[in-house]
Amino acid sequence: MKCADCRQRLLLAENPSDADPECAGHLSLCAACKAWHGQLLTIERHVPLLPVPASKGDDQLKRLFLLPLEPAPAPAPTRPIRRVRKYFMAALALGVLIATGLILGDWAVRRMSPATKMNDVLVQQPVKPVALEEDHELVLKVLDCNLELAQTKNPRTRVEILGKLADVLSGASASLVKAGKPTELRAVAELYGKVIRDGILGRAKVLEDGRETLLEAAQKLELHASASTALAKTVGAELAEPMRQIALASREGARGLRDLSKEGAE
Amino acid sequence: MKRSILFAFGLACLALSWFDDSSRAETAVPSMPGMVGILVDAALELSEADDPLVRARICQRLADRMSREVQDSAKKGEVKRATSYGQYLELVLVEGVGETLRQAHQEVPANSPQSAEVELLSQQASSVAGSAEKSLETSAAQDQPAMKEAVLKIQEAKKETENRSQGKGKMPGWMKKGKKK
Repeated sequence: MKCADCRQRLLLAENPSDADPECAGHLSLCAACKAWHGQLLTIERHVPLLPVPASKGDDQLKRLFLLPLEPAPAPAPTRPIRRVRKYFMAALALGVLIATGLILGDWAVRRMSPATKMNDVLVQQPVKPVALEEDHELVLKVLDCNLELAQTKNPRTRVEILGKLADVLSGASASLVKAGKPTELRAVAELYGKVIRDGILGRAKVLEDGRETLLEAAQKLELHASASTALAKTVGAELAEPMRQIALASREGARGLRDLSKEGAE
Repeated sequence: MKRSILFAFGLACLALSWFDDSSRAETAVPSMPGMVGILVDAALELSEADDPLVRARICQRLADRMSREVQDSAKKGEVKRATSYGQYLELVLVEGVGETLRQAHQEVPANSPQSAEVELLSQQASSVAGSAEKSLETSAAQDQPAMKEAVLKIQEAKKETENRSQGKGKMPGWMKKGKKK
């Protein structure tokens, strides 16, 4: 197992202290990964302890709107211009207060969102940020799937290669979550859904006598579903939504493959 | 007083609309596909095509796209991008176009319309490689070692694609493994 694979698996694991046997084997042999794992566990332990200041922004804002309007004092016979100016200044102050409150509130929400917190923590991790268009390795991996598909017309091999393509996109989605790139993540989630629906399920339908292949592919998709669901729980809404989309597509795909394998068995 | 409240309300609305705009800009629908999207779409097409000539056409389209990217980046003097796309072009030409044409060459009868298409696709692949090669050679960054290496690799890929389309050349090891399945 490669160091990068081991680290990615540990980052995706719900409980990194409970490494799967393959990772545990690698950790026992690789001192660098073992040290990195220790660092990850330390961070995991400390994240819940990070001080998060309580926000009073919402309450203040509500109070401002819910304040009963004071009855206007009876107009004084003298100096009406000064009174009008007083009301104008009060309204201006209220407006500025509301605008500032909204700006600060939004800033605080962004600052304290789990995604931002996670990114802050992960900045220290050796995670390579992925720019979808420019990621050479990602393009090479997808291209490799294309070239394998170009050279075969065996339906079983095609399902396997499409499964590999889904793996590549699932891995890319995890990297994009860590890099905090919701736009690219949504695009990858869409592509992932396409590969499952139009690719794997489409090819699986014409597969004869491929029960094992279908069950293997279904198992892989179920793993993607649980990893994506777990990751979605750790991030803010913007990043969580595409991850849930990936989890849903994986679950639907796995269900479809299991149904097809049953049909084949009957 | 009413005017003052309206003024405050207006200011608050202005602030709200500013938020709305800023959040909308961030959550805009992505303008994918981009290269990964193009490759995924091509992969889905390839997974449905049983005819090697159809697969060769899909690969030829990809090679053409890679070549245009090489030409664009060479023109702009973007060495890293040019060499990356040069590498993709090399792979698509040899393992994609060349290999599918080799399969087609073995399957189609000689002197048939399909064999003429094999020849035509082979010529198109050479032309696509030639355009990329020429743009790299005339680029402002042509003296950089990475660019020179990219030119050599594309020249080799062009030759190898021609060989494979004529039924020559070696099948890569990983492909033999895949065929056993």
